[in-house]
Amino acid sequence: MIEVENLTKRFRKTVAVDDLSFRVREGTITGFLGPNGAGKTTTLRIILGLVRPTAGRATVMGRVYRGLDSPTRRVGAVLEAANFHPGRSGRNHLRVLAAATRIPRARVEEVLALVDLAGAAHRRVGGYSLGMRQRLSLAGALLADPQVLILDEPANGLDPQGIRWLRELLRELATEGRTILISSHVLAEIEQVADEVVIIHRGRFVAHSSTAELAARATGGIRARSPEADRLRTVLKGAGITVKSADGDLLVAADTTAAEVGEVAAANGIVLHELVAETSTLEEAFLELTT
Amino acid sequence: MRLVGAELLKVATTYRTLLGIVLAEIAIVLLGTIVTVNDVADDPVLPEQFERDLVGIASTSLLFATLLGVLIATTEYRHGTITLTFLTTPVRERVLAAKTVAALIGSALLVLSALVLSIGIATAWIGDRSDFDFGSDEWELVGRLFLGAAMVSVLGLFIGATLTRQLGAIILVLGWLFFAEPALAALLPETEDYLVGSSLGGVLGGDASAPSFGHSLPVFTVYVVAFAALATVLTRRRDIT
Repeated sequence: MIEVENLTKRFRKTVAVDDLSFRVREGTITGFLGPNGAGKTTTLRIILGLVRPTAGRATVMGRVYRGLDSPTRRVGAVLEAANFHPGRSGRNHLRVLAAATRIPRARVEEVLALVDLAGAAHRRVGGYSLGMRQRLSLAGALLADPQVLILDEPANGLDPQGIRWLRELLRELATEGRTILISSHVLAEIEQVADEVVIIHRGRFVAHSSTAELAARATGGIRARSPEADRLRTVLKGAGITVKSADGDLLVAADTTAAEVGEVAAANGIVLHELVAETSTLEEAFLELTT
Repeated sequence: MRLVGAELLKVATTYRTLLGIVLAEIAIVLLGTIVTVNDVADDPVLPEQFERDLVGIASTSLLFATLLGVLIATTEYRHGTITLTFLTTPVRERVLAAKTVAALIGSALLVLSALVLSIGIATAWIGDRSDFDFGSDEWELVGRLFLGAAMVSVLGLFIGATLTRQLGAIILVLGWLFFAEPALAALLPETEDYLVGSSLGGVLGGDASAPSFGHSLPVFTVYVVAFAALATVLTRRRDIT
């Protein structure tokens, strides 16, 4: 559905995107992750035809964005909350977009209601909060009822209620079979909504897998607490188990299971006060892969 | 047509800028017309140039038509709305073409409002005088004024689309017309007939010292085409970051 092939973008001497390739499958929500400056926004803008790649190409539904027939009817995008004329009302902002794509005015009212902005639609965007601007951006993206959504940090500026609203909206959109590529630095949000994640760092591809797989891949470790921590560390090492860290009576073993650590301790007569398999999160996986 | 409609809607829905331009034009034309008519109202015979002077007063709309062209191009870059415009219409030449038509329509309305105001005031004031007569020469000047406004508005648009920075484009246009070009004409008089301001004077007519219409029209057209080509190439290639 969205395909990025050997994409490279240089801004003078800076390489923003470096030979990046990935594919977003139809009907999935894919999180697009990377630290600040990783090249996420540049990649999304290349996909949307706003930035010219130095090499490689990005296609949506098999075509470059410029070559799509009625592109906004196929792809909706939220890029940044600053793309508004401050003197134009929210409603008129959408009417301008609708006029350019022959969308009936009634649809403007529908999307305003969908993003809960109908009451503020007559007000000038200059007086909107960041969260309201994000909602208006989403309304613009949904105006032509597109099959694909590309969202760059859509949770920016939203309050906790707004984030929950966004999460529910994305789930609803996904159940309708839409393909969504969403970049965010709020990893907990991505973890809750995304089926898959693509991680990039310094413009380069790092990982692409399902959200659950990636979290599982992160080495959360086995946390063991014992009054004989030093001896436990020695016997674990002797059993070929890596001890990641040790602090007083606490140590964390990697690449193993709680059962294995428990068995080694029992076999050596070591008392354990605590034995916990630490749950890894997407955030931990992300940090492991990008630091 | 839908893109032209969208462009006109953009202008109409940010009416404060448009209102500022129209009010400034009205104020200048109103003041100029009142002073001009008042000067001759009690004369037994109107000066031969009087009707031409009325068209001349309306020609102040050229400045506003130029600014309108610059603003239609640069406002979108200034506020970042160009991102959405290019998302909606990724074939950027079509956006430029639609903006050109919007600038042409806007410039024609500015000229029309200035003419209605200047001729209307004069007619209301001294219209009953038998020597107040708008003849074919004056109507030719009116036609040239519409042509000139159309050309400066698209030139302003293409300069705006080339530079993208609103203030920079306005400073460049005004600075060139009011400072750089007079200085250049004084230093190199042989270039004067080929400068943009002089060529515009020739297109408008009404000034005996201006180059001929036949010379000025192609010279001014070269400026418009050159900036149109530059604006198109840069608009196509520009990264919207």
